[in-house]
Amino acid sequence: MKKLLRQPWVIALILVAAAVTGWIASLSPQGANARVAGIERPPQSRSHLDHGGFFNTPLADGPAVTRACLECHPQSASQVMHTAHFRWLGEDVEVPGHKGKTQIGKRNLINNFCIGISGNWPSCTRCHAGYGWTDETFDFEQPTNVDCLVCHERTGSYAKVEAGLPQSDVDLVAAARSVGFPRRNNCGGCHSFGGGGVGVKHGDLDNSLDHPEAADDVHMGRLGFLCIDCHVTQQHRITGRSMSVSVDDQDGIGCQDCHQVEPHEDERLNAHLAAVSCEACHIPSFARRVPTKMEWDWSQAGDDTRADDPHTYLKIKGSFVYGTDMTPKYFWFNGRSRRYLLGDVIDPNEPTPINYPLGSRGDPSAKITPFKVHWAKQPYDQQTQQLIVPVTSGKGGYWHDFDWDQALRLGAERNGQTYSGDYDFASTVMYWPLSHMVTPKQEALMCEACHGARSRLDWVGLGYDADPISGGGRR
Amino acid sequence: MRRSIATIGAVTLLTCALSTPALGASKLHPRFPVLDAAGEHIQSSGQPPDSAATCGKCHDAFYIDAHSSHVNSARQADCFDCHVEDVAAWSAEAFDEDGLLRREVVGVGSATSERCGRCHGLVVLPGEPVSLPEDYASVRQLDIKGFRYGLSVTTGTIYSGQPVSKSYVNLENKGELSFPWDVHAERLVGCPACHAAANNPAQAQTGRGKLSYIGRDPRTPTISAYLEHPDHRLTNASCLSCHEPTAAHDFLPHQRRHFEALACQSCHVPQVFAPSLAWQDATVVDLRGEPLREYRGFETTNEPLGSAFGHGHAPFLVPWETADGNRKVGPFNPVARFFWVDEQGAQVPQETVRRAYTNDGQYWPEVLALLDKDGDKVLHADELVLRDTAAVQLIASRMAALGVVGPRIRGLVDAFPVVHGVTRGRGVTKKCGECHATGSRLTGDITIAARLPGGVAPEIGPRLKTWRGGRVEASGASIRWTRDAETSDLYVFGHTRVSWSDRTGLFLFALAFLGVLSHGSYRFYTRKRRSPHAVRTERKYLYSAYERIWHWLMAAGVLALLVTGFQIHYPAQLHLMAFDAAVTLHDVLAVVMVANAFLSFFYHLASSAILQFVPDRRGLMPSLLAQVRYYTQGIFLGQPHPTAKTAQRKLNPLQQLTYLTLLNILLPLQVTTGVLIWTGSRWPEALAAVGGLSIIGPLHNLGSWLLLTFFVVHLYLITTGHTLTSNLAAMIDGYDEVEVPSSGTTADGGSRA
Repeated sequence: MKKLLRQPWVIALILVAAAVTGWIASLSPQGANARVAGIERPPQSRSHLDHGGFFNTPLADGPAVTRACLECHPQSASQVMHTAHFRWLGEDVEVPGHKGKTQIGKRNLINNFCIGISGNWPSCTRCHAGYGWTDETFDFEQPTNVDCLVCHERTGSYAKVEAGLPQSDVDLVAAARSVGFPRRNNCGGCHSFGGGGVGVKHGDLDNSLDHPEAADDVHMGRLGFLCIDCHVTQQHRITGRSMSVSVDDQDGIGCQDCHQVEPHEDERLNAHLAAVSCEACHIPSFARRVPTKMEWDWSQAGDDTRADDPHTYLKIKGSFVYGTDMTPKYFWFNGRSRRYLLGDVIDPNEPTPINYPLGSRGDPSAKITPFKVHWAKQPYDQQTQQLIVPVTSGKGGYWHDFDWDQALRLGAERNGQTYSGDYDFASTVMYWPLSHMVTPKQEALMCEACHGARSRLDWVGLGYDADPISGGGRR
Repeated sequence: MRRSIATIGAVTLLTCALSTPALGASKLHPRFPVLDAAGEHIQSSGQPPDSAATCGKCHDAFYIDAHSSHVNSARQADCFDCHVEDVAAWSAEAFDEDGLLRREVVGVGSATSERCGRCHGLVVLPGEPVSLPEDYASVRQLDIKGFRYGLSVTTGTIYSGQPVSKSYVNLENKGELSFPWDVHAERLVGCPACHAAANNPAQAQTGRGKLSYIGRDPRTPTISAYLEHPDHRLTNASCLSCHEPTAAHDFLPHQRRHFEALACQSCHVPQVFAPSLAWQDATVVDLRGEPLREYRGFETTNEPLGSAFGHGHAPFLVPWETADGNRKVGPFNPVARFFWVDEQGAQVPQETVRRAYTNDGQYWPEVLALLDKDGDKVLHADELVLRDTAAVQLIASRMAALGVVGPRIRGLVDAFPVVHGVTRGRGVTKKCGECHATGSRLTGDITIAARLPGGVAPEIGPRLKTWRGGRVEASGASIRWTRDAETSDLYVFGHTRVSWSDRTGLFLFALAFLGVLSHGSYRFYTRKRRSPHAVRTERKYLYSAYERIWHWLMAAGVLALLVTGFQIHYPAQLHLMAFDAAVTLHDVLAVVMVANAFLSFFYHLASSAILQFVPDRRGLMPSLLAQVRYYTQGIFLGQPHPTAKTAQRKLNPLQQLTYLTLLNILLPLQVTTGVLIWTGSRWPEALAAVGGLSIIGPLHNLGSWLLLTFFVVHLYLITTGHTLTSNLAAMIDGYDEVEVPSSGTTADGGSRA
């Protein structure tokens, strides 16, 4: 036998046989199926060391937990302290329409929901991954100010109150012993509740994704994805970019990070990818189960005669319109956006975009992308024609005294703005690109959703003369 | 509050409906006066508008009438039917002082799918759920003309881009049917895309010329000439008018043959999900006064179709003869229809039939008495049939009493090609076994109607007359299509069985197998009588490396060809690999085999080794007999081999004869028939000249049985060397343990040296 194996033709024969076997195997239907999903990088399964045996002394407060964590993970706090999750501020960027470079982030931007955090710190920083941010003097260089538990604990009983401190009845030792890789409800605890309630802000993130069905989100519901499967994290730097607090697509995540560049069997569908984002067809609607806020009118606030109803009117916040299973609006988007910065002058007769997706039909890097569009009426100074961040929560805030003048004066002071005392409410609009709540492929949009007589797209608004089905796409 | 939301919703819906043009109304069409038949403005005359007078001012109405598929004895469509959004909108207020229609109410444009659907079939627009309308069943005529859902009812297809899974139709496993009712509707290819005015310059590329050497005539009319004389004989584009099938069927082995023998719809409409009519019996009525009907793919006992439970239905695949005389296989839905006619042959109105059967919502007592077989005072569907003369005569006499002269039953049966309802993705079948298997969709008789009222033989419609490979049988209580047992010219691999080929092959194989079995058993039984070392042996180098390579390649190739070949022939019984994989593998292996055979032929020729196979004519008979005697007697007694094996003479005369036959007859037969089958669609004349697939296919099959037979015998004879495995070992390392003849045992041992 040994002699036989030394014969070159026997080896050649074995190699040929192996090649032929491989080829035959590729002809079998299983071989073909493996390609159907078009997945190039399936998610990893990961195991985490059980911390149940650690933390044998009582832990007095949040920083005490962090100190205990740092005993074994000395680098972790400093890693977190350099991220936007802790600093709420990004790197220097050029903001379109503004000179020079600025650092922008939650810390200094305004939105058209609760408007801005300056002056409202304790209330807003409930969602800060840190402890004790009550005013502008907060120490961002103090490692024990980092909150490890909010992302890593798995008891589900951890809750944060004002300034991000743990609620007094939380069993910190139990929480510390439960730590592991972040699960969906760790991330969702803040990101699903942005804007002051479940589903308010994003429209594609709410607590229906804690235990989703396939129809809610095919990745999380059918395949059990965790957030960190896509938001790949190294040294506490979490990838992903939100257009509400940034103006570029650095560290952004794309479908094609995992999926093939030409994922469809149908050439015609693949041809669409030159101009249409994956999300446009695969996120046919948002807020499918939990309502999201579509409109917010601050000017209606303070009316004692109206009954409070969290989905239509609150005296402290004004009136709202919520929507469920909403159809997105579609715009060209190249990953960069325009941004309103404090101090920018507005035209009160026109709706002011707080942010706005950049891109056009003529921009080859832009794709038609689905957005949630949020409209609001929020206060501005009629003299300076600038939007003002009011103080809402806390002492002297609007929610206590229902006095806009006082709230705006205090807010302007804390933000270094001038306030003339002459305020009114202006229309503003924010654009939230949709990337979660991807449906199973059977539910993806079909041709007639965009083409033909009943199109959901505004072709003229997108820069076409008419539906390009007969005239062809952009060239 | 709730009410106000509802109101808002209703208003929104209404606005949507109004803002969505039902017709492709043109913004360019000029304003015009609307005239009545006398040529007067309708706003002054108060008469209804007349399309010939109104449109005929600019468009040549006489020409259009003479060149229209919508103007004939059965139907007189006018321009408004297809081209005007809403004639009712042309009220007195619709006109300006100049007597012309206001811009916003002109509403003239091209026809749309929605408009075609008003007469021809169920067309559901985007955004509306597909459901079966209440009047879906109200078929009055057995043709697509003249009743609303004809195309849908007769074929089970619906024109809608909606996924079947999202429709309101009550279908089994609906959630899995995530493909559209019609892919063309989904992709916004409307009816007019394929059924366009023949001389429309915008559509000219879809209409192929009548001249064989002209693909497209560039001399299209100018737009103005076309608008004056639009040829309304609408085109019937075929799939090939737009599609290039060779670019999309890489996975399909023997593409050309498939395209030639199959209508595209055979695979692309493998199932229809709307109820397709099997028969309609208007010789009887139910208590609503409606004829009785049965649908394929739907369980309709008592409930309306809209909520009936359906499974979908695979249309019958039948070979038929196309207009140009070719034979193709395509999907059809055959429909039988029975009704009363009078002396003149005119159909008796349904109302008259109803009065003959029922009064005030009840059957007349004498009708009930005659038809109620189980005596429960209710006429079930299986009782509501005029089986015998007594029943026919009773109803005929009742009808005569109602003033019908000479009533008699007439039956019509025709087949409707399933050409619409083309789907995509998972809706399209890629299962070869739907045709290539013993019990495939090409098998089995088709029950067209499970009833035959009055025993009247039905007239066979023109499209059913094009069916081939069987015949219509109307007898007893049904109308059936009976397929011929062995189709003469449709040879489908894996499906068609030709008995002479299979039986002969199996017989020869069984014979050889039994022979080998009994010979082997007897050798085993007599093994102790033989002394193992009766003869002296010598180790000799017999087979060169190349000889061994080609032998094993040949062995592996033949074995693989046999396996794949039998997988192709018996796909329903063997499940070693997918059918298409077996076909591709078989084709490739065949090429490898032929190449190997050719190389070894060259080797044998060049090295004179070919002489090994040529028997020595002198002394052939005695040595043959000696060999036969050895196999029948000597081998059991432990006698030495009669022919000495030497490097110059490796084969005994029996082997020589066998290999001569194998290499000169069987191998060429298999190669020739195989090549003919493979190239059958490229050079059909060559295939036809030798009898077509129905001869060549079975011959190739018989050849493979013979090869299998050889293979079994060969395997056995390997064990008849000096020891059980010495021959096998020789073919592996080249050295054989050969018996050295003691002098005088054979006449010709080594004589050729």
